[in-house]
Amino acid sequence: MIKHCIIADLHIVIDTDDRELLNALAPRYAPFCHRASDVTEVPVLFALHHTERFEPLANAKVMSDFECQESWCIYSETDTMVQITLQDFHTREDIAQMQCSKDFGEARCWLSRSINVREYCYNNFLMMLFAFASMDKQTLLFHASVVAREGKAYLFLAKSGTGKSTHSTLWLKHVPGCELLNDDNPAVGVRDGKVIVYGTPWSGKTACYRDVRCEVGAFVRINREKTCYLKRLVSVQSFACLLPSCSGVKWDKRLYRAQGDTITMLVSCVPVCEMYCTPYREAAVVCSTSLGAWDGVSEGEGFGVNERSMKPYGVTLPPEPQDQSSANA
Amino acid sequence: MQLKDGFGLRDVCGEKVLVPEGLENIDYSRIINLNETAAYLWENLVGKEFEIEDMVDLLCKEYDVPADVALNDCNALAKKWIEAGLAK
Repeated sequence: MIKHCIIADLHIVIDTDDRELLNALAPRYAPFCHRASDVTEVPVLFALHHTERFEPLANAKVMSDFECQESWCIYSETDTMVQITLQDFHTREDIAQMQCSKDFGEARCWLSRSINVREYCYNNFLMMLFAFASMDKQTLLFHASVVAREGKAYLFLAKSGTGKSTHSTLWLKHVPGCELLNDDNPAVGVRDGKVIVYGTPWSGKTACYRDVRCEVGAFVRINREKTCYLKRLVSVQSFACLLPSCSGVKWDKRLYRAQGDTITMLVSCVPVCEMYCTPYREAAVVCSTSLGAWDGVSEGEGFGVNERSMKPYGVTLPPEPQDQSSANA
Repeated sequence: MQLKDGFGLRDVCGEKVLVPEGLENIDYSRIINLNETAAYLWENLVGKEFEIEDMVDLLCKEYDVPADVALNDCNALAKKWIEAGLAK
């Protein structure tokens, strides 16, 4: 059975006859599904065909070998093909494998074991294909948590465990009129000169699979500190800040350069900041207030309680009218 | 001397930046900001075997600078590039 999804304006094709798998994928992907007849005009970014088990590629060179949540992921390639193998974390036994063209446009995979494992593997393959195939389509899969407010979205970046989701949760609780757009892997695209963030079927541990888009207000890297302040970065620091938060294949020079071009566009359009903060209420208040009062703060300057104290700690924001259209297309 | 392979020079909002690319620098996690002069030298030296004198010639050809000043600057820059893992 073939399903068509549109994610960040890009068309992906899911092809499997495994009913149980389709049911398991439905909560994530259903919001993005369209009738085939409605998307014939949209070129296909990639198709992933679920097939019987096939032989691994002969003479594939291992490019990368990394831990991927509950499994091992081995990325290898030949002159014309890419192969991604997922292995059981403990036994290192192959549990699923995908082979695709070097542009990631056509892919096939086999899956094994329980429905949970099959769903995990197929979903991971789709996410990797999306991240890699979209690199030269002015689209980036970010590692970030995103909230939207008054028609602008704010992406919180940080290494895993630093508190991206915690910071989003603080905004949702303490800043009026906020909504969660995605909690782990939003897509960001440059569309008609604007920087737009999109919900995706990938959102970490939070089931926030929303087919919504919103113009990006700022990228904010979260750092743990005892006090709270926000600092805007200059262009080169901004580039260095965003680069490690984008998924992609670093060893494919063409795609990696295309990704760099897109990041350069983001940096020239949208502020990138470092937020130093606690995991408590004042973090959301200082961050949202500083970003909201952005006018007049130039690149490289600080803003917040530590530097240029503009607003006192724990300032209470006036209630704002709810903006119904804030994050919807 | 030789500049290391696998660094792409790009323009980020008017600033010149070296970004590691490809397998050669997979573990090189920094990006390097070059000023205009250093970027000019990098563009003209990348992929070549060169000596400090070649750097001085390039500088004197493009900028109005006495050779002894250029030599000092080039020595300092070459040292920095080696320290930063950009040249060998």
